[in-house]
Amino acid sequence: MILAFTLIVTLFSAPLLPDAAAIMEAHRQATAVQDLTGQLTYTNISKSGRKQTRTLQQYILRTDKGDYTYNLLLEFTDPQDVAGTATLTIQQERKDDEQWLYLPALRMSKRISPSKKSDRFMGTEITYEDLSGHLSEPIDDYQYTLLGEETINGRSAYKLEALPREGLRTQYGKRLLWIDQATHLMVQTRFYGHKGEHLKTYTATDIRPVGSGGHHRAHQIKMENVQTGNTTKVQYSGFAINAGVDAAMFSTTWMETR
Amino acid sequence: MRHLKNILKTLLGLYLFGIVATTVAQEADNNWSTTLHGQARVLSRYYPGQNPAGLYRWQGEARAELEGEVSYGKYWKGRAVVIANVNPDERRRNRLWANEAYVYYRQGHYFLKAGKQTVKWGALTGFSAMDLANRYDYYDVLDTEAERLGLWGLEARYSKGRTELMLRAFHPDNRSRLYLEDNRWINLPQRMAVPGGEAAMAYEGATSHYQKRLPLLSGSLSTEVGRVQVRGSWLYGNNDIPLSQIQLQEPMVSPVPYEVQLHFEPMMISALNLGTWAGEWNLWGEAAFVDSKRIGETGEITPDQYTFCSLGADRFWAFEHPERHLRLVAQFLQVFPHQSGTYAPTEIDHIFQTALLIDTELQINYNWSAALRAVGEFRAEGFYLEPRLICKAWAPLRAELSGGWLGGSGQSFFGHFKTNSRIALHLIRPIL
Repeated sequence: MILAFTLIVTLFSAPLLPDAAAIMEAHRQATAVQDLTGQLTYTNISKSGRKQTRTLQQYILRTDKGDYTYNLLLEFTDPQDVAGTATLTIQQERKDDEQWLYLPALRMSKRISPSKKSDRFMGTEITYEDLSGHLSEPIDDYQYTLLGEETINGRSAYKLEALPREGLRTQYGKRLLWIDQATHLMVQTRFYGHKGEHLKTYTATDIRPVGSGGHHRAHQIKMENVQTGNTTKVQYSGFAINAGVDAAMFSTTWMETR
Repeated sequence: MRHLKNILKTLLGLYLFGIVATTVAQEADNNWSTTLHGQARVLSRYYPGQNPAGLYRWQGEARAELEGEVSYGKYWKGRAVVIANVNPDERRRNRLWANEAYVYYRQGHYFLKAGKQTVKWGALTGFSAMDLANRYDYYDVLDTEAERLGLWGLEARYSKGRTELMLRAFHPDNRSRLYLEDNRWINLPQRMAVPGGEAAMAYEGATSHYQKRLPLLSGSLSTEVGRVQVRGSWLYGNNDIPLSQIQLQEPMVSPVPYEVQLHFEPMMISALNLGTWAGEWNLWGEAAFVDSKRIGETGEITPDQYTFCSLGADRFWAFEHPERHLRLVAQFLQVFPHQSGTYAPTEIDHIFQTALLIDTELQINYNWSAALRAVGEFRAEGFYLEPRLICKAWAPLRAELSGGWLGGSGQSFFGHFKTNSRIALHLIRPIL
């Protein structure tokens, strides 16, 4: 009788963890936006300490082609040797993204060969696949398992394993995700190759509310390439979420006439 | 000392302009927003070879550029670029001017820009026949990228989906800036053949002549068909590179005084551009028809019609080494003249006849890059090699050391001007 009572008390007093699918759906809701604008400064730091810093303005608008696809316009503003350069990406669900590049020296935009998902984005440690996942985790493409709870940089987080579903083209064999329990944002990700080797670690800090719509965003992120020793640090500022972005911006005409 | 004063006055003027523009914007309501930035550049160029006319071998220039933008609401924007250039050895290059000053209005599918604006007419990754209409300060014929001149006029665009119609109209007086005297790229005659020998000549000035003072008009229609980008362009106006004829003033006087008559003749260019990609290569090409004028073999102005074809490819390689990447642009050009005869090496519009152009840059690491521009002109047998070493180790300062080696047959532009081979150092730094 005492044993049975103890067991019942233990069962009911243990925190009930939500299942992995519910956590990932909450994460998707937390990151899903109709549009987003803001400024970001990224610094690539080489293993030997050399640095490269770029500042750009980003404009993001969800397309009407699917939940996981966005139009992205990125315009470099600093340093001056790259200022004015802009890229336009129209994400396509289950297809290569469409991309255009505007070079101020040529005063023209041109369609360019689509980047491979494993290509590094603008020379950073963030690949195009990471960028897509950062905007919207494609939860239907992965099988998630909840591994427990951990504290990351002072924030309580759910720890999950994400394995790609059969047939998915991805550069990663496995990812370990840490989802913040308060905001449902990703606070850490470890990326592993198909042979199980640790490739990179993503960390998000300085999570703050943005606007009045209940959104939160990490204002600092870091991607460390464990294999090469290179790191990319990104600092965000001036976030505006669902404040309205003109759809006409996502065109070559707009890039050429800024 | 006088030049130093000029530099200080210019920089002070730019600084005050910046303060005023920023203050005005801050005082106004929050529909207004402004941005202001600028850069300073110092160029030093040395020519190891002696010019036949004994001209300068050393050039030093300083330039400050200030760019201000003002936005009002969602639809209106204005932009001005003020440039101050100081050259202690060349008074004609001591200038302070507004190279751009325009406003534009954009709403939905429509865009209209009015005022003084720089224009690059060609829409090709490499050299386009439409680029023959670009207006430059031709103090140096090879370094023109930073010398694009603003033109007064209008640009209108209408775009829907991936299709765009663009119309432009510019005032007839928008011309390139030429330096006929004391310039390493223009050889004014100093002697003429006379019965029994040669006579000395004396340049007395130049006059401009127009068959018609034409506005510069252009239109283009671009769209995408599947994965192919298509653009048709048309341009009509006066060629900014004049045809020159020597007019002797008093043949019996020694030295014989003469005037250079500059004829600005009509030019029309029609071009079709295509662009696509295969794998990781971007591929593009152009077929253009150019209807212009030139000086014929007997000295008269004659038609100069030709078809201009080019094929090009570019690619970007990112290497395993995270700091390293390579960019390559290669273009092959072929001109098919519609009349017989050969082009003189001094005909600037015909620098390329059967040519291969290469532009490549290797980023070695975040601090250092090595680059090469190369031209091989096979019909006139000339070449140009411009290796560059770029250093960003002291960012935001950017230092660029380059060499420019011109060579080949004297029948080619590059061989004709081979004494203009040079070494140059550029220092560029943001000032705001």
